[in-house]
Amino acid sequence: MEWRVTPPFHNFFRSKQMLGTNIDIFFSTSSFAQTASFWVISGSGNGTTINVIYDSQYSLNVLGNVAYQNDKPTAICRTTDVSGSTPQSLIVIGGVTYYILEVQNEGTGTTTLVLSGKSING
Amino acid sequence: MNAVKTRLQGIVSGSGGYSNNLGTHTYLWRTVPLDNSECPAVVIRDMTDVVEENSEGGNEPLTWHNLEVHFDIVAADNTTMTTLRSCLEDIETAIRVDETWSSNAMQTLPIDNSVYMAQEADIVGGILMRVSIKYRTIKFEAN
Repeated sequence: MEWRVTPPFHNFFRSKQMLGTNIDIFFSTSSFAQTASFWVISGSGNGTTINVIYDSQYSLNVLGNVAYQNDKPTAICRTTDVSGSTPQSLIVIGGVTYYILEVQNEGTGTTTLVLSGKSING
Repeated sequence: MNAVKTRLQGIVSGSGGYSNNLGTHTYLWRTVPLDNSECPAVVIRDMTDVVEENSEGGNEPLTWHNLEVHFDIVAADNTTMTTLRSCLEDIETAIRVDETWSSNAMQTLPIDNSVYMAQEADIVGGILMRVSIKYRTIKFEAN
């Protein structure tokens, strides 16, 4: 079981209001976004600088009879900025290195990257 | 159950053949979620106490009990699965010190182990270890 609060931006980007809107204004560092370095393949060359909207929600992991307080960091990106990203990709946001667990293409010009502070298990 | 908790509180890395400091994060029936600073940790629960029907003992009939105890081990570090297995070994070592829990029980038997894993910001894993502690009392005697 997982308790999850949907970040406010997710609903907005998925709404019909988003269609036809220039999304660039949302990825300006003077509004919601911040710069990040992105690697399609971890450790290959210099990262690409992109703008992302970072969020981290509280998440409760239930393991048998006990629960663990985790966080669920995500980064909303322009899909064109992170095309080709896979669960092997890497992103550095605010000086923190994150491993990409999931690539969720929203189909609205944005992609949500689900992140972890740890390399992929297994 | 206090005897079980006290035994596990003695799990200190580098002493008694133990590899982890589970003793500082041993909880009895903890209901509040754990966080990273508390791991590795173990939560102890005495889940069920099944009494056998066919007991003996003459005027003061003895009842035999099978107390099912759960040990929930939780780890969240860079080698979560390795840490979990190491903690499991520590608990097995602690039980082997005295399976009668200072003569309060006849024996302690393993039932099974289950593993859980999740990854978000942290990789977190758990092992649920179930054991049965067999003991006997006079009927309705407090234990």
